[in-house]
Amino acid sequence: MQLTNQQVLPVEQSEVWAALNDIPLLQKCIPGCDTMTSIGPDTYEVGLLAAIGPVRARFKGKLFLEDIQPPNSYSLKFEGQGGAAGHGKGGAKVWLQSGGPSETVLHYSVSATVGGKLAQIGSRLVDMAAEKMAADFFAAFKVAVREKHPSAHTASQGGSEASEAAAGTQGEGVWQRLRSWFNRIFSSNKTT
Amino acid sequence: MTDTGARRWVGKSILRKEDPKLLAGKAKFVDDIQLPRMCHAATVSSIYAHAKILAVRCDAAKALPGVIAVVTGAEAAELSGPLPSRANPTVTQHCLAIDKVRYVGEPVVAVVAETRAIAEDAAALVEVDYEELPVVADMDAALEARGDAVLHPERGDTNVYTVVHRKWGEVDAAFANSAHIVKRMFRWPRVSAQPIETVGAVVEYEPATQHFFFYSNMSQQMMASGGLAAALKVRPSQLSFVPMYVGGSFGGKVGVYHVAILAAVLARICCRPVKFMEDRLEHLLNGNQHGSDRRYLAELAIDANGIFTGLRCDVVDDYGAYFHLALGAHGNAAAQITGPYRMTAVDYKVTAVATNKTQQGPYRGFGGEVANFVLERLVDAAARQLKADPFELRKRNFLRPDAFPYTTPTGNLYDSGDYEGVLDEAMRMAKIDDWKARKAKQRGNSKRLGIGVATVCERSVMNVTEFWFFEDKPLNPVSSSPESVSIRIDVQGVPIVTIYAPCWGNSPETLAAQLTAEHLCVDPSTIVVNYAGTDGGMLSKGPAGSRFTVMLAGAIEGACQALLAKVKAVAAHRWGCKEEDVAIDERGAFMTAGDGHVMTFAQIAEASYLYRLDFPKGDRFTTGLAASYTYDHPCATLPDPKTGDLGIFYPIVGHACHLVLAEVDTELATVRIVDYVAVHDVGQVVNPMTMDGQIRGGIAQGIGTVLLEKYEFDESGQALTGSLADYLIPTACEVPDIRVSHFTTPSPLTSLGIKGGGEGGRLASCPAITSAIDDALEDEGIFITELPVTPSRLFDLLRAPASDRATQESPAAPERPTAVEHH
Repeated sequence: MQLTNQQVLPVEQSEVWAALNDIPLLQKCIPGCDTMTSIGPDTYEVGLLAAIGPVRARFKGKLFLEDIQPPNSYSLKFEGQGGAAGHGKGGAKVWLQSGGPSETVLHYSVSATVGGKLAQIGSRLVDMAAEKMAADFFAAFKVAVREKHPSAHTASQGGSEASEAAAGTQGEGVWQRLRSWFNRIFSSNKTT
Repeated sequence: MTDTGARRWVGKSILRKEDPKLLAGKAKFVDDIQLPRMCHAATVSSIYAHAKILAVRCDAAKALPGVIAVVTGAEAAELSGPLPSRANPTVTQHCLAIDKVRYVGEPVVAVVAETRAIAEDAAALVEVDYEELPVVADMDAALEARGDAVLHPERGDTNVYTVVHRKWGEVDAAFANSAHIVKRMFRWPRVSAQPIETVGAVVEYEPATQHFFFYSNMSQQMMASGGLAAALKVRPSQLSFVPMYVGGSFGGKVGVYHVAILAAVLARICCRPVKFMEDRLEHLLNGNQHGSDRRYLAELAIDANGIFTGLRCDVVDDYGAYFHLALGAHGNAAAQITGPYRMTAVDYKVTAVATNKTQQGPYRGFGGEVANFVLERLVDAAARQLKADPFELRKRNFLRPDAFPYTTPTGNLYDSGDYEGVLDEAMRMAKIDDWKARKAKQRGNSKRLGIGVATVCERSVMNVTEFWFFEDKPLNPVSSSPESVSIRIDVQGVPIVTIYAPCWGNSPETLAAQLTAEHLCVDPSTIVVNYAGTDGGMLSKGPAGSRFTVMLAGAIEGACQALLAKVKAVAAHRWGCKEEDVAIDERGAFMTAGDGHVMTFAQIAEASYLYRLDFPKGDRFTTGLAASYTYDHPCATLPDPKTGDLGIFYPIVGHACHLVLAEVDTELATVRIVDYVAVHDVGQVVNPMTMDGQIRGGIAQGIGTVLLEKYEFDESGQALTGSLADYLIPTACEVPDIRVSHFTTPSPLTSLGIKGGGEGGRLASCPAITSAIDDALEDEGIFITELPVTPSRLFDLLRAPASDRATQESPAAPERPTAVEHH
């Protein structure tokens, strides 16, 4: 599974970097994640409930942060076991690009492999499930960042619109689409 | 048949005797079995393709209410030995993995609980710690693998199970002197049958007598009980098999696999009956039913007159994690390696490798279908290369009707045939000139038509030497493959036929009734057919290698002759005439030639059963009318290690010609079968309706192999096709109306001239459909060398540069280990 995308966040880069290192915030934003505990330097134990197609299981795994370049980028590695449901492992790279005091572009590139039942009956669905998880994560991440930084602009443009629309087409549905439509109306009103 | 020889029942499409029971849902299958106190098993399967098992934690599973036992591989091994294997040296496999897993889906722990649902919930609580090992996910990696990547290090530091290289005839001279050589590389995909019913067993163990009772859809119970007993560390006499209806096998259920053994071990541990049914995922992953997974580098030598003079095949076969049937599927291919053609020289090399995948099992064709595919593809390629008509080229090379009995280069025998007659009949049925006109009309359109042809032999009536005849020092050179029946005529004159093989979706009751009716001149609807399990005592191999109808016919003929001799003796004694003066007429009445005595079966049976003192003392007139007969293979011989001759092991050889009109949509990259003609020579047909069903079913499976099916694995050996949404099989939409006809050259070697016909549909359809696809794309220069031809693969071929379209020989195979006769 390969996933490369970007998100535009309406806050400055240092705030995004802080959020990316805020473990409770991340835990809240990762869909199904109920524990994320530090067990060593840049090493975390993660527990999450995930569903890919017909396979639904609690995964226990580890997450390692590597190659940390504040406030620009880090890499992470993860591996998780879901018992009879199978296992997954992979890595991601996240890097930030400043777009000014109220805009930061977050680039991410993820690759992962799955095994066991996840591969056997979920292989057709893994990519879609990963995209949906990413969309869910960033929707929550944006809300969390905004809550932390209420001064930030509500509007986001360009990449984020595209990715929200993309998220919308994957079935998260009506709400996403409605919100991005409202955003467009709202921002176009403001600019005119 | 009557004493005049006229046939009354064989050759008629009588309705199936099995169907009323099956259609009413009254036939008993394994999963219908409910025994008092029965519990249910589920397994924890490996999620890695290759890993050491470091630790297994079962406490949480054991603590779940309703759980009866949680059993690890080491615990199961206390009550069971390795599974039966024909590999030499053996390849050790257990019903639950110990220490190491070798493919995804391999069972590691078994859980027994009050319900299957509880067992599955408990299985999810079992924690297994693995240490991953290097994964061997394809045949090329297998050829190179060393060290930790070796699956069975006790057999040496290699994943090559065995290499065999044989030459028959002057093959090097044939290639050196040839005018043309056609050479291609082919890739045959790992596919399997998908029987409606998965593999399963219910086993009860009686501690007082140390006896196991099996309700299982494992099909060769009589022959397999020895291997099964050994695996359970008991004597065969401690096992009883109860015959069951089986929901399809197609080869996949013939052997002794982990399911029945595991259920037996669990039943013994729990002292309660245990049911273990694979679910579809388990069946797809480890039902022991994945077929051949081969790459061929194949060449055909042709002389200046277009006559085939030699064949070379260099085959690598990806056998997966275990090797329980050894090279049986290549022995099978050797039965008819030169097909219907006159070639006398063959060079055959096979390299069998171990990979981290499910092991192979038999699937309709058992390797012979791949050999047929490769040979027919080479003939099509030759027609293209020589600019010859593919029909004419085949006819030029066919064995002539006067060539039979014919000994093949490998030593097998072909009993009879008329290949040109079959091809002519198929061309007549298809109205081949109409097809050609339709094709010409659509030439250049986005939707093209192509005409496919395959003319293949269908070896039938297997003998078991194929499992070991490639070995110099065979471990287990078995050579028996009997079929038995018992027939008794009851006191009212009703024939009751007992067969010793289960009903696995073929039509054994119908065939047994029809054949018995023929010999005894009675109406088959009055005949009772029943099944005996192992307690019935007679040895039978049952359906495998397209043998059952022929072997059953031989056994029934033997039993009926014994019965008729006694019946005639009773009648002759009653009438005071000579036995040879008693004749049977078409209504089953007995009479003497001149003086008008007539008796029915009922009258003779009554006399034999109830009036013993009316007859002389001695064995001749013992009470009752019953006979048992064990029919051995009609003409099998042992191999000759000195000459390399494989002996006669598949001598009842039918033939089939399939003609396919297919439409290829070059924009959507799809294939649709427009018309299909199948002409088969299976000798004397016993029941055309059931025979046609076998042929159509085989063709449906061929459509799956050519257009849809393939087990996919990723580079880490993860199985990616774990459901029927991922592993596609043909539906009614993909299977067209198929026109079937028969052309008969009776076998001179079998009862009534019957030949086997269980596999021909698949044997002929794969090359015929493929041939139609690339005939439609001839203008593009496309020649298919790899299956399946899915829309995405066809799309890629259509858009590839012309030079990449497999018109030429594919890239050379990687270096192979040097040829040795054996490892």
